[in-house]
Amino acid sequence: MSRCILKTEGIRKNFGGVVAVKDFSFEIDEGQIIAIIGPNGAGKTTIFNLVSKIYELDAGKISLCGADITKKSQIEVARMGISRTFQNARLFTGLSVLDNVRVALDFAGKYSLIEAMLLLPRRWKTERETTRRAMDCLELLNLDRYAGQRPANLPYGIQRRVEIARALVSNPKVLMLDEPAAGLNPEELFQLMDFLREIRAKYPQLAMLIIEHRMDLVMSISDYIYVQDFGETIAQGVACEIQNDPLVLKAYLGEEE
Amino acid sequence: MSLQLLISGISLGSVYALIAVGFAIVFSVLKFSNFAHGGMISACAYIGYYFQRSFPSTPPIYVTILFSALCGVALSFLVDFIAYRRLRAKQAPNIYYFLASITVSIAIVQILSVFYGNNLYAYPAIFESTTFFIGSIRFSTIDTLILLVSLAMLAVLIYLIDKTRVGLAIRAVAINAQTSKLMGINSGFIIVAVFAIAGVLAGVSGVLLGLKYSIYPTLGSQMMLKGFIASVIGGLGSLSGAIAAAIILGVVEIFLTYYLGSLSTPIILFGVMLVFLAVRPEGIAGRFAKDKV
Repeated sequence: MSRCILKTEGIRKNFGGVVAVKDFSFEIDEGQIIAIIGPNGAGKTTIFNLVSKIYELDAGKISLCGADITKKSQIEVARMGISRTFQNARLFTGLSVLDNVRVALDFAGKYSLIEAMLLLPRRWKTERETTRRAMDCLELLNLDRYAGQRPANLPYGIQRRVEIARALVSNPKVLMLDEPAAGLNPEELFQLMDFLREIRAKYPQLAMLIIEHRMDLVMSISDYIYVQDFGETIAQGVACEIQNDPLVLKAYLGEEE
Repeated sequence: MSLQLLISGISLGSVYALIAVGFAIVFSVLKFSNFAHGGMISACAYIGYYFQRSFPSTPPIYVTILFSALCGVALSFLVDFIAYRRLRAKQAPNIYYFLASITVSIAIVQILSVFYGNNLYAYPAIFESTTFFIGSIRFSTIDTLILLVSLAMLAVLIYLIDKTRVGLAIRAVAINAQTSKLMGINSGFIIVAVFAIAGVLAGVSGVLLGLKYSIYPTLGSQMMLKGFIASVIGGLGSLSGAIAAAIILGVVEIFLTYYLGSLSTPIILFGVMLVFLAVRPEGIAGRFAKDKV
């Protein structure tokens, strides 16, 4: 039996009079890939922002591995193993690719400022370990040759992958990818699908939550799909059920005569 | 003669660098110019002075520097607690930090004036001779001490920023505090670390300035202005730019003072800053400091 990792119960967010997310409930198990799809403005990214605590919930409950995390802060939630990417690759522009990934291991580091000043062995050990983990992760995503470069000088598709490496390096329980395929050309999209499969093979326990518009990606890798429209879940199911759901077609294609 | 001037200039510039870096590091993380830094330098100069005086025999200078640095950290935390903490909690616009930091700086100067008046105090002499010779070249003992201590401090600081996890976290928060939080970086701790570093720098530079000049309540504010010029010319928020600019500034100042006198020198220095702002406002380092919330 696989274990439930992340669960939301009736989470809700209003912006002024607009209900961005209305009572969204879902759960994701160990090793599962779930996609959230829906037209622009359906509240998909808001769900991510609620789970990663950028926004406060107006109602509902979120739990991680059975523990209630509704009241936790962004920092706590990140440290507990929920990591994410953004629609517009928010990399640290002034840092090298390697440092961008190493940053995400900061909280796993185990030496203090005092130890660093006295050059104690734990500083060297920790820094070596951090660099090794970051390099492993860059290798997995075939990014190791960019390690010393600044992200701003790299093609957009590479930047998106660096962001995935950064989200993955701390060995999270849940990886949330916000439109990982947006802005990618067809070749890059293929590569992305391959990398997602490799990530799945390397981290069999990792639960992945993906917001995506590219249906070829969604249909080929997700185990289960939620369809959002105007903040509400209008359909859910496995890929073939969703593809033929009349409500989904209506939301995507508009009212048909 | 010009070699001595050069050493003296680099020595002065390295103190400006300590000040500029203390200023720049707070700017890079918190995005405001911490003018309270000048007041803190003055306060630390007095602390060092009284520490030197309070023992029957003058303690070694490194003990005084260490003590002053610790007091600088305490003072830095106190200023943050009194002036900035609530602004942060309210996510106040930068203009309020600016006002708070200037107010704190003036308050510290006034407190020092009330207690010590506007008299000049001089640190007790710590060396038997004010100069020493290497071969036939004469060096100023104090300038050399200042140079060595400052360069050591800067080296430690660069190591800390470039080679440790705290430094990496500071750089990340400086670039984007919001994204850093999602990486699990405790930005609250980073702010504490940054104020601690600024405090150490204020403490050390206070004592070094005290050794070089006589101390008076506005000493720190005046010197901070030079550090501020350096951090602007260096590119606000860029540590290496600030260090380079500070050392150049020190050398230029010493040479100008020697050839033109101390009255007209500041006019030229501030003139250079105005030219820089007009021609290259992004500084030597070449990147605009961005205010991100």
